[in-house]
Amino acid sequence: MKRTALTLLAIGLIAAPAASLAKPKPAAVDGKAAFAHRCGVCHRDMGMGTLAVSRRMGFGMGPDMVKAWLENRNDLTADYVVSAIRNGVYSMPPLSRVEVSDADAAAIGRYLAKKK
Amino acid sequence: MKPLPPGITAAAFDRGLKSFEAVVGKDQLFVGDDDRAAYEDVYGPSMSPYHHPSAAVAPGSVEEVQAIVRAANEHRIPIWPISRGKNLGYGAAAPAMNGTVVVDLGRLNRILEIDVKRGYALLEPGVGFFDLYDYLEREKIPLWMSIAANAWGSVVGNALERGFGYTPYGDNASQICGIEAVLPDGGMFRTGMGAQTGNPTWNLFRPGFGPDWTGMLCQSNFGIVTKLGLWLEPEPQAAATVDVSLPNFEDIGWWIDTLAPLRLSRVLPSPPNTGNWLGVAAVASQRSQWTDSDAALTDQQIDAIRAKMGLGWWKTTLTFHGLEGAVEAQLKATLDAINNAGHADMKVTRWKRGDPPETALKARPTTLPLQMTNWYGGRGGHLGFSPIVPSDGKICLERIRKAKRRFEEADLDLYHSFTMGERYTTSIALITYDRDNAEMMDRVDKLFRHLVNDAREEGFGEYRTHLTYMDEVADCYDYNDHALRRLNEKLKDLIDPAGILAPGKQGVWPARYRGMRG
Repeated sequence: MKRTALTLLAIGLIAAPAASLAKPKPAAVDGKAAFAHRCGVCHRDMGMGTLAVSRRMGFGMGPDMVKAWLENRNDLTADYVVSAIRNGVYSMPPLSRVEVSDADAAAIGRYLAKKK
Repeated sequence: MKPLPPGITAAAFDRGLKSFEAVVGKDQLFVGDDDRAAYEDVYGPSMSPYHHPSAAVAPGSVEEVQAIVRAANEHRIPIWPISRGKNLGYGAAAPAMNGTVVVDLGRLNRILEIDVKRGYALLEPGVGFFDLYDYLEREKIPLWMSIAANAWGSVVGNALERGFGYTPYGDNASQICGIEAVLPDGGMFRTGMGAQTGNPTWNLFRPGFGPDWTGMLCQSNFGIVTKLGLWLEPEPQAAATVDVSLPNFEDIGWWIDTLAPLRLSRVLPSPPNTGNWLGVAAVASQRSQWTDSDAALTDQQIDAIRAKMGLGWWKTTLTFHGLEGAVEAQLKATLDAINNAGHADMKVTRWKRGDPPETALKARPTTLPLQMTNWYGGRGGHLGFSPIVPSDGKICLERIRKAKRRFEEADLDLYHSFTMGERYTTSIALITYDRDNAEMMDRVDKLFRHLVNDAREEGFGEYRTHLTYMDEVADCYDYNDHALRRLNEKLKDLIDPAGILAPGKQGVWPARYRGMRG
């Protein structure tokens, strides 16, 4: 069978082990990359999360909306971020540990709290 | 409190969970309250007594999916597969029946193959629209996607639920070619040409030899899809869009009648979604900015909002892809037809290969439309009511008039849109709400049931619905004493005698749980 292009690609930032029996030591998670992959769909650019947060913070849909990007804020703590991931905030639903693993959540929390 | 599956004791349930744990390991079995919360219907009424999962399990391979299905049979534990669980407005990740264990396929997240020459992708169910889009962009692969309005979800899951995008490939289920699925007994098979070992046309020719099971696996509880081939659109030579605003409520009649022949003849190659003013207003503002009243907005209030925001009553975008000359010809024929039929404000945008790629008129993933759920404030959600009707202006105008009255009776603001196929139109009433407001949710429930009954009286039924209304909608399909449902359930009992796979999905119940039908 000849293919024009054959690509095997794990979407996850850390490829899931092929079998659960294999338990390699977890690699360090890059918080910025994890944020981009797991949260960026809503919390960057014109995402729903960006707009919702901007509205709550009083920035509306104008040029100040960029201040509502989570990466631009300096008032977030790691614990709050992890809690938001696990419990949800307003219309943001809680995210499963399949979608955002504990390691990813912790790394995202550290990344967003970096300005503290 | 954790619900148990009907008819299963706590001890038997625990034995079932242990068997799942033996397959996936402790880390991929989720039984805590916070874990289960992530698999609830996160856009449904928060006080609903229905659709609560008992646990979730996340296999990491097809073999693990098979092992979980076998264990579910052995312990008679009902399971509910999800791709990414973002079926928002239709139940999200939640099961139809309380106590069902969610099988989260999110770890099966590989793009297995992209064939540029033949224009398809072979995907696992955990691949999201953003994942596939990012990959195509990063690798500069000249294939374009059809993307759902909510792009947070799974490409595979959306196609299997018969979701839509707004490009020439916008009927996503029609682009499915080649499925691998695990059967309710733990066996595994491939559809179409994939039934022959090593056949290289699995993802090129859908039907295969004999009955085609592709449709049997859409909106279905006959199997768990673990791989899916999906046709992607080769990058066109040129593209054009027409952003359209129609000023009046009644314009939808002539608009549908004007577009219908263009869609039928494929002069207009993409399914346009024509939605009312609230689609924009609810993204760009919240209700509290306009009124303190709990009553549905009056026509005068609506006119004031539209004037302030510069909105017509209806808004849509028409999309053309193809050879440059063909696009221009289709565009001209479409604009001529519209200008001859009525008044529409239109803005044409063109793109051709060689123009800056960031200006390409291709579908891009976004979650922004979900912002509509915040119209009422609080923790928002939405519910879609989507019957299929003929592409007929008179019928669509009558439907929107009736829907408007029903929304006003319920003191809810009307969002309505029409997505036009080649011969039919999907008439979509979208109800947004504060999911924690019990009184409002009661009105939403009554409204939804009115909409189902109104459509049924006109001879129409939904193509897709929320978990709570699956039985009610399935009951609309009553020809020859519900012959189709009886056939589906006869087959269900043959291939799933233990009744473990997604009981109640689309109103199809196994014998074991048939008494649960609502």
